[in-house]
Amino acid sequence: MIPFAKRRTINTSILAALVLVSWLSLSVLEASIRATSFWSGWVLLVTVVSLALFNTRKKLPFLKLGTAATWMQFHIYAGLFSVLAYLAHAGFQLPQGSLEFGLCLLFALIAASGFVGLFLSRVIPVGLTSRGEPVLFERIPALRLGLQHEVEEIVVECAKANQTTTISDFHTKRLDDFFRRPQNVLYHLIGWTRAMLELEREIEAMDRYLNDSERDAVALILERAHLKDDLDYQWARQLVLKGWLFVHIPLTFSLLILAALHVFVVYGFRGNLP
Amino acid sequence: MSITAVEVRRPQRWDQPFDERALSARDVDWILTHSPFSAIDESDFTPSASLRDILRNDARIVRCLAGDIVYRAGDYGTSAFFVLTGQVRVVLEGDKPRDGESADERLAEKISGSVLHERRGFVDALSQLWKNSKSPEARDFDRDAQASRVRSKGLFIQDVPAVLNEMETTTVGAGHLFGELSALGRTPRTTTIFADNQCELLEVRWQGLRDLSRRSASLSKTVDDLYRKDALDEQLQATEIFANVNAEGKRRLVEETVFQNFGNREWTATYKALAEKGASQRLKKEPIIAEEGHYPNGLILIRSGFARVSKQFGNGHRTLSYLGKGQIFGLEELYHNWRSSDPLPYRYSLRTVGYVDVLLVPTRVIEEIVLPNLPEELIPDPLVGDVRDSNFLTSQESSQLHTQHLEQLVEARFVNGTATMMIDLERCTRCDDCVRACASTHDGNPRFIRHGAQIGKFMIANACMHCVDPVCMIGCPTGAIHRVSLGGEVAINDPTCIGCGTCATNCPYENIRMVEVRDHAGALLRDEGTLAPIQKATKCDLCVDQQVGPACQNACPHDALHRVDMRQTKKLLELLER
Repeated sequence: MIPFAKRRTINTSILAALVLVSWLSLSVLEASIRATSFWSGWVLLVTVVSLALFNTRKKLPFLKLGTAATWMQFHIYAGLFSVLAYLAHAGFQLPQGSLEFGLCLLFALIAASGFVGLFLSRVIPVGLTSRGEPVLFERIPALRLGLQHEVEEIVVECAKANQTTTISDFHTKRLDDFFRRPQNVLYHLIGWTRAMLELEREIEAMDRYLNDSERDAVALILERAHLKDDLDYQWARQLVLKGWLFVHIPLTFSLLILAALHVFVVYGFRGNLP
Repeated sequence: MSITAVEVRRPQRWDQPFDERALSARDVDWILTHSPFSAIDESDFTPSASLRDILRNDARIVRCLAGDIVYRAGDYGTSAFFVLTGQVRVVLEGDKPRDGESADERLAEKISGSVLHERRGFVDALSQLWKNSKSPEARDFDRDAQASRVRSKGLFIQDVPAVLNEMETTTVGAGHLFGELSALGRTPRTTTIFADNQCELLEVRWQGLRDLSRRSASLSKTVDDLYRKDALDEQLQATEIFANVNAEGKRRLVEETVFQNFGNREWTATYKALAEKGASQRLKKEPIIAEEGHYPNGLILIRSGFARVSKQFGNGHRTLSYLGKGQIFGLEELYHNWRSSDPLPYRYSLRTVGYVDVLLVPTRVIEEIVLPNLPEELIPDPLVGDVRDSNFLTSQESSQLHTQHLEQLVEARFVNGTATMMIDLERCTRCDDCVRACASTHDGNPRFIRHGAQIGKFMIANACMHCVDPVCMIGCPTGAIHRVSLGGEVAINDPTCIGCGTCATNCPYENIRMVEVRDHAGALLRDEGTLAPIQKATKCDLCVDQQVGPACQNACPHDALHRVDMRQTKKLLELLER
């Protein structure tokens, strides 16, 4: 089993070597007064198509097509290579035509979403592991509903037993909404705990109006509020982990269609270029 | 999806006999004229599981010609064989070594034929893309369509005289039993057996052997005696430190070695309750096999199960490692004491994890027979430092698995797994590609849940671990849950499963799920008599019929999911420290 650090070193070295070879090849082609954009264009297209094939590999887990981890490594480093290949192909400048500009924009968005996705997939899991129970994304609504019902039951029982509405009023005004749906999504993504601290302060502020029995009920509610906050944290971060692919993949298919059109136009208007 | 239901007959124990067809009454009559069945009293059996029914459904007659292989060492099998006529030959690890080759390696050259292990071809594998059922847990209730994919056939030895000339063999004649060690111990075959001449064997699957032993006292004694003798022979043969002991020495070893067992065979029923108790209470419930600070009265060989090696630390015990089948305990101390005038006690304690079978070879026998002949490469390093100090750890110990991980892995019995699903939660992006891949390779139904116990940053997911000792197999009335003969993966033969749920109850890790099955239109299948839903046991089969091994591991893009053989502590350590 190759340690991750060693694998990174090997893959980076291979990428560096590939970039060097490509750069030398381009220089030779330029020196021989050939149209290097055709060469760099085909290299870029092959790279982008091979990057897009990763999604196809995922759909065929029953065939001997190599492990997804190997494909992922290829995807990361070929993705980096494709950015350099694109820059070389576009001559390190913004394109003029609307088709080419559209291609440039799509490529930039895909590359950016790829890098963001890579960053998120390395950072978010660490946070998910360190807070709350490991929970399946699909089960979060059911767990949230369970907490919501538990809190409602505590509130009703407390109101019946004490014949007061302090807690039930607070529940209607503040807690009902908190337990009903995901809250503080942005705070959880950034890693701030301010919103939960605020809720805790509001609950504590109620303390002077409560008797011992009500305080016990509030302690139970607070415990569930923390569990709900952990669920929100898991929900927000898992949502982002799943969500970025909904940007990355559809844009890739759009890029492939535009790229095919680009190739068609280029060869249609090629003329007598060598 | 349709919510209608279809009535079918609930599967019964003997719907799928061991052979393609149940034996005929004439065959059974003929078997009953042969030893040891001729001595069995039919009235000892109950009407619901009569002797004749057991033989008819749980046995098959195997007819062999000279040279036909009955089974090979290393194959997994869940059946035993009675020799009815003729005789078979057992290939022993010979006294005729040739360039360090084992008997099995030499024998392999002389075997023709092939083992047919039906994995899907390319087109069949690809067709899962469109052939997978749209309904969850859909089944073809046409039994012929459900035939098992795994079969083996057609192995024979080309040159029998050459084998007899080059290898040490022994014969087993009519009336005798063989193969019981593997059938009852859920372990691989330890020897290769082939037909010596034209012979007829009765192969009995272990459920049948269990029922026969239960009802017939004489057969039970025969099976038990043979099991103990073969188990001892096999262990002594397989243990490296006895390699240089001569035949007379081995005979003495067999005579003087003591069989011992510790713990409770039914550990699966109590261990969850035990896991919730404090560490000190758990430790008290683990019977001590050998205790730190006590005189080393022998060398301990683990026969089956797991034992925890621990050392006193503060007011508790620190786990240093765990030992499984074939591993030994106490050699360093015995060697030190044999060479030195300053004897040492056991430096560690050895405790039972669940249930353990051990062999104890007394110190006197070890000093007289084994240590003078110990192969050089197995001589332990001298013990240096203050080995009596309870805080002393050798370099070997300090490089062991992280204590906290180890404690948890042992206490939750995860060390039993040969393909434990470990997910690095700090790399897992919860993308569920593993679950989707599993579903794609199992007719749309994932065979594990990405959820389970957490040990450090690793999740031990609820996926079958393909245990060293698969306790789920105990009690299966039909043999539906079995080991695949070549790789030893634990799989369920769906057509044979009657949905009794014994395996799911026995699995201590909750890795087997009972599901209600449907037809391909989505209608629930119900028993025509009781109208209760038809259930089947389901679990991970490690993709035995697929081209590419476990799809879950192959599908993980982030190298987070691994199927780990817990016996390979080096690889486990690499994973934990990756």
